[in-house]
Amino acid sequence: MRYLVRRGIMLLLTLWSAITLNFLLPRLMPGNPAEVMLAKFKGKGNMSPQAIHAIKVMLGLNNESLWQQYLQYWHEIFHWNFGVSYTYFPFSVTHEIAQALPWTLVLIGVTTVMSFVIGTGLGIAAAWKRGSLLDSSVTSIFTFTSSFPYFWFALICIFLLGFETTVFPNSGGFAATMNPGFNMAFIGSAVYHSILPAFTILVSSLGGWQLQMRNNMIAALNEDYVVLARAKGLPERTLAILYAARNAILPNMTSFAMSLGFVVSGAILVELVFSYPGMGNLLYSAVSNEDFPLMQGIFLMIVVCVVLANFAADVINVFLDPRVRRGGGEA
Amino acid sequence: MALLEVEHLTVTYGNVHAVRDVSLKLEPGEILGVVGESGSGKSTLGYAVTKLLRSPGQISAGRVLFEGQDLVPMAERELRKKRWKDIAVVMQSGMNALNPVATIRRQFEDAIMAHSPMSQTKMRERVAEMLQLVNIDARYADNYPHELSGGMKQRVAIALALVLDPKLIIFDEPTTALDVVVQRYIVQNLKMLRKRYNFSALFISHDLGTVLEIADRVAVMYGGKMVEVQAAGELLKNPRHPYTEALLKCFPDPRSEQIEVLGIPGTPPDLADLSPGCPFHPRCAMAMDRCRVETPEYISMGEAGVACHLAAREVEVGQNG
Ligand SMILES: Nc1ncnc2c1ncn2[C@@H]1O[C@H](COP(=O)(O)OP(=O)(O)OP(=O)(O)O)[C@@H](O)[C@H]1O
Ligand SMILES: [Mg+2]
Repeated sequence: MRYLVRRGIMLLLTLWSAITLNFLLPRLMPGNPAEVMLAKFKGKGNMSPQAIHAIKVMLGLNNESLWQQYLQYWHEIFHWNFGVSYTYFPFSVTHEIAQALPWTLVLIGVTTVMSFVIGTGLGIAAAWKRGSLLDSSVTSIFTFTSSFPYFWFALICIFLLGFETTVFPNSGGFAATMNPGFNMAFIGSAVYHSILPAFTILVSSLGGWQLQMRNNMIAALNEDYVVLARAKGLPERTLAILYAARNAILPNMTSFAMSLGFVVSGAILVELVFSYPGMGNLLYSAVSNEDFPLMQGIFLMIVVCVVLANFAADVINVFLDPRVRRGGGEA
Repeated sequence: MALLEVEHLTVTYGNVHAVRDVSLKLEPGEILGVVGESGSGKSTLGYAVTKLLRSPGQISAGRVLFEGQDLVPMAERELRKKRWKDIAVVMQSGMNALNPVATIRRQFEDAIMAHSPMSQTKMRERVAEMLQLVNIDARYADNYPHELSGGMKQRVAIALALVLDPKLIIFDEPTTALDVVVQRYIVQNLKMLRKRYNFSALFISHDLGTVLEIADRVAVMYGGKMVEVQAAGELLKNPRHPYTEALLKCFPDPRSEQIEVLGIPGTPPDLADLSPGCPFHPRCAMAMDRCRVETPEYISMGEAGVACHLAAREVEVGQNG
């Protein structure tokens, strides 16, 4: 537990420094982003005084001392107030993120978890039955698919399944004729639209997990303790799971937790290719429109999630690896 | 009937012939030491006997008779019933032989449950009893391997091997990675356990001193071949093979006046090389022309045996005269 408390303090420190960096960056930038933004907003229409205030606080156009600005900045952060998006004026940054986040969380989140679970399972099976038909076929297929450039493969899928044969829609997150809502028709449409992007993500990411797990597992099967377990005449299943896989999965859990952290940033390539209404697309349009408030909000989200995922990885490790749990000398 | 009888065993890793035409016999309750320098095939022999060879290791010829039953063609399913209950293993540098993510208790219990299930309470008692045998406090049962010192882990590994009271234990360098004090301690402990449990053992080590202390007979391996077998005391007094003689010179008697440690000049043989001739001849001070072209046969003399042209001649002379 001492270990977790230590990690928890580290987490808070990291969060604090990331958020502070986010405060300093626009203020250190050459030119004055806040001024530029406000000038740009002029052409868009009337802004409420609060919106103007938020922009000033977040990006730094204030007569007050840096310290005063810093306190105000934290105030805005605690109220989820990141200002108004330039690109999607008059909507706020928070609103835009709230709109995009669920799409990404569901599509990228679910596929990331699926990819990890299926890939790891297949890696274990392939290593356990090393040299079998299952191993050679699965492993060679994944070696092949994991070398695809993603956009190339996605475009081919869209071309074949979205244009040539219109089995699946070729873009968007739901049918253009519908209004987002919590009803069967809409959810059905969303699921239908997600199948093709999900498929392409799985095909391009499964291989990585499978190959890595297979390698770890093969190394584990050669460890003394696995040979000893065999000498003990333990049932095959105990041997494969408790002795080999249980140890082989440890290094992968960390990469998995990290990849969960990056889910929030969306898979920019995926969302662009499929015009998917998620965080990746939002980030892309923020960057291409020099929409500083939106960028700042998104970066903040990503940083927080990555730091949290890092912490989650530590927690998972504590549960899975006794060497970390008590003292943590060797790990 | 001998407990273990190995007949003309040959083990290959691809084209590396790690064990070549080795035969040996082990009576119930007997401890056979196996010595030889690194790479001479000691571990390979031990793992072949238990059919635990790492890939690409393969038994390419020979038989391993355990209580008269050949283990070589036996299916893993059949063999699994004999594992640990009949034949247990203590691995080379026991440090890594314990599963890092399971408690010590769990690693005892899965072996018990796999072969002779008993109640939880009985099992707790048994684990405590086994740990006490190797002088480890029973409360360590709920610790993880990394929380124990190297010597403790090694003793746990020994207790683990004894838990089902096996007939045969393969010790693969049980003391190698430990410091001398701990080594002594474990050897004393093993001698006591042996009296109590009366197991047979193949005791593999490259430390001739330890082997001479604990084993009844000693087999000397060189380049995958068994070059000499003798009772421990005899071997020390009267080595027949020039390699054994050289080995003994590497382990000076601490009580003797002149402590002079001699290495054996030259390098171990290439195990992929199958050309005839004695494997030791390039390093042998007494090599004859014959040794270069003709592989000496292993001549068995009851409990003992030797594979050397020179020694064979002396044996003949001795028998005739
Ligand atoms: N898994 C393996 N794959 C290929 N070759 C191997 C393998 N294991 C052992 N060998 C080879 O077999 C030969 C004998 O090895 P073995 O481990 O039996 O020697 P040893 O006498 O136990 O040596 P040591 O004292 O170093 O433990 C060596 O030449 C080694 O390189
Ligand atoms: Mg060895």
